[in-house]
Amino acid sequence: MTFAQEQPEERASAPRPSHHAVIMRGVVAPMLGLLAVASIVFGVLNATIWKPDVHVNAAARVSATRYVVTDPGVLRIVDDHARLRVSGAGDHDVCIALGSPKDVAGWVAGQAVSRITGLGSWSTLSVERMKAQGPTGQGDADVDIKDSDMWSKVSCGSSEATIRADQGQSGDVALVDLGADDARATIAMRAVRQKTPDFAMPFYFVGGLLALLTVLAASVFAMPYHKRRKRMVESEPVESADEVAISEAFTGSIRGLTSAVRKPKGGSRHKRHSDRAAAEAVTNGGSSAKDGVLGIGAPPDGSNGALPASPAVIDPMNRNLVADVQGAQPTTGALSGSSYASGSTDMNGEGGSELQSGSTDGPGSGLSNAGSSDADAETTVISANELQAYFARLSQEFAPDDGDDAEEASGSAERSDDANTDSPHAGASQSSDEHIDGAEDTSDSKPADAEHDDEADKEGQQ
Amino acid sequence: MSTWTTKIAAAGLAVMMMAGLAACEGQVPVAQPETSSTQTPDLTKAQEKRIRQNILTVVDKANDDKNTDGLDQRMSGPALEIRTSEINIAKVTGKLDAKTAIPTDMTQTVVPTDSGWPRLVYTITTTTEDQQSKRLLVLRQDSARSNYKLWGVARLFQGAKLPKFAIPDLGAEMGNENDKGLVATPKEAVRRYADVLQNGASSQYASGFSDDFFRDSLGDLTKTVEEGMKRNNGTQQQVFTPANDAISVMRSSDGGDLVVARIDSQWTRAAGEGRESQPASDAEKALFGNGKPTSTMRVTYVNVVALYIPPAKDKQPITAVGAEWQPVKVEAV
Repeated sequence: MTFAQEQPEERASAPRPSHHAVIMRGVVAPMLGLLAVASIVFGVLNATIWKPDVHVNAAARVSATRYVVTDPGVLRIVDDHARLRVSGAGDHDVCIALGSPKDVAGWVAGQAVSRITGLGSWSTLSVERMKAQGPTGQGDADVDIKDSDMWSKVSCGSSEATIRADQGQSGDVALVDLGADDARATIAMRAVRQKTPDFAMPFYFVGGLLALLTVLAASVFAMPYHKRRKRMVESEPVESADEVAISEAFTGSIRGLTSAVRKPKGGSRHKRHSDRAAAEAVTNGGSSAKDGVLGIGAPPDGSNGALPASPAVIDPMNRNLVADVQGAQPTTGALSGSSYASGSTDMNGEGGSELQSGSTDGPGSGLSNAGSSDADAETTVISANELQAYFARLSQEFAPDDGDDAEEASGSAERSDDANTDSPHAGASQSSDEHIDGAEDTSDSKPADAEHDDEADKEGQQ
Repeated sequence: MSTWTTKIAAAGLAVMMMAGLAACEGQVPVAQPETSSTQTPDLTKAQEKRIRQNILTVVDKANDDKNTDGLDQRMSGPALEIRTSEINIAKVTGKLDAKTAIPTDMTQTVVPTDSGWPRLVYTITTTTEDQQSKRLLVLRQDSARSNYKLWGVARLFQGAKLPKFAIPDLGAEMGNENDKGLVATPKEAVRRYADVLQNGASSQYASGFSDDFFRDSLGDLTKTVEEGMKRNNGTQQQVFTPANDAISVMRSSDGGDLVVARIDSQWTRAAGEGRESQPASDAEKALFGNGKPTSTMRVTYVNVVALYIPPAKDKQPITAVGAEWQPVKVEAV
């Protein structure tokens, strides 16, 4: 199918989309589009109102221990900077100190302490109670926690204290002294996250992908499969098809025309009958036929097969005298099937046989072939204008069947051609004379046509 | 009816799924302890400076007020006794001895990484304003709940060569009085040095120690006093006794120990028949005050010695690198 033929089909299919296209465009694409919009909306929400809070506030309540100690790393669990706040310890003085873990461990040695081990969740601190190892270091020289040399930072207050841990105290832990064993207090840690997780970007990404899929679903995926495949291999073969198409179209049209000439003959029996009549007429023609000057033995329409031979129109300018002389030699000798073969092959035999077979309706016998070749030979004498006018009339009458006939004719031509080349003697012995005559005549009288058909035949063989 | 139920269920499910997408704060982080905290120095340089300044503030205040009250907040051990004596002498003489000066700036500090108590910090000051030699300060924290106190001060001898120590950012290591691998354990080295001080060149351990300024000057003083006492038909005797547990040991990076220890000494001077034994110096005079002298005078000294004990493989003598001595009590017996 050529491109020119394909276009009208597409136009025809456009207003009536296939079921597949309806599903893809009506169901799948909108769903994907909806999901894409939803993803982007969620992305925007996650980037705005649902954005993770940069401030982390985690708190815990402690009681029944005087000391609260954070585990190493807890102060900077969120960020290098953290603020620790202790409140609500009754009337006791509260102190928070930052010191190295070993100093804090030494300070609380032997005491019951609440250990802040980390974040239980984003809003709570996890607390464990334990008794610190080591001997209780009580002595006369004891100093208050706020006076100790060990702390890198200390902050005290009445029932409330706040301390800020900075980068310099990265290895430090916090020690909280609530002032009394039965104190209750709330310990809150506040930190600012420098890097908050970006949940928006995955949504944007997925949204983009879904949008792309939506477009694809509405376009490429909605096309029928065969079309897509056709499209895929379309590009390369089209050129070669174009190359062939020029000559092919020409021969195709010629064949269409010639078959159209033959078509109106009606039934095969009738045709064979007329063929035979034509053959007889040619044979009767005697030397005139051998000279290659063909009369119109049988009119193309075949409605009256026994038409008397009309005066032959001879164009002396078209005569190839050399060919005539060469062609005359074999025919003057004993005419046989073998001579036919050599003659036809030496000359433009293929063209001749092609012409014969091309004009036959089917893979007929040698007899019918011979007959048809005669008929063709006759038609070639008609001038192009006449032929066209005639075909125009015929095509009006038999317009619907034209294309099919042309195809059928070309197909059968190939088949019969094969038959001829495979067995040159396939033709009946009785018709060999006529056959050869026809072949010779064709080649002689209409070299242009024969040459033309020869070309077409080669292409057909290819 | 069932369609409504389905719709409500679907809507509920959708809302629940949306809740999963919303307000996610990310995974809760886990506390990551830093490098092994036991290997960090006990003090930063800033902390050491702050502590030293706090101590010197208290000391200076006592010096200025000539009042020893409150001095024990920041001083302990031999340094407290010596400073108390110095201030008491200053009360009498009206002026502190120049040797009591402690520069505020330091040239080197040695901070250990030990996690137990007591803890030590050695700090070497600059020279004093009047170009006295550098001071070796020994800061000591006896327990977690107490503060660092100035435990010992030794005036470094001119030209004394101190061993190398790890820088305070890395932290040194404390030793103990029974450290092995040295020419002698710190405790034994102090005992031997006391013997050398007492017996001079005749001590069996004399060859194990380099000559040092303290031993030389003490020998000269002893000789002078002895000559005087002989003229009066008197006698004199010094007894040096290492104080138990009054020893601080810091390991140097070359494998030796720098030991600061207290050695108590009693100098008993007995005059001849019918004569009185008088204080031998202004300090003793001030300490003796208005006491009535008798034929015998006993002066108690507190000595602080800084000894560098090299590792045994070096086969080097023990060297005294600094010392401080101060009469703390003068009594007529």
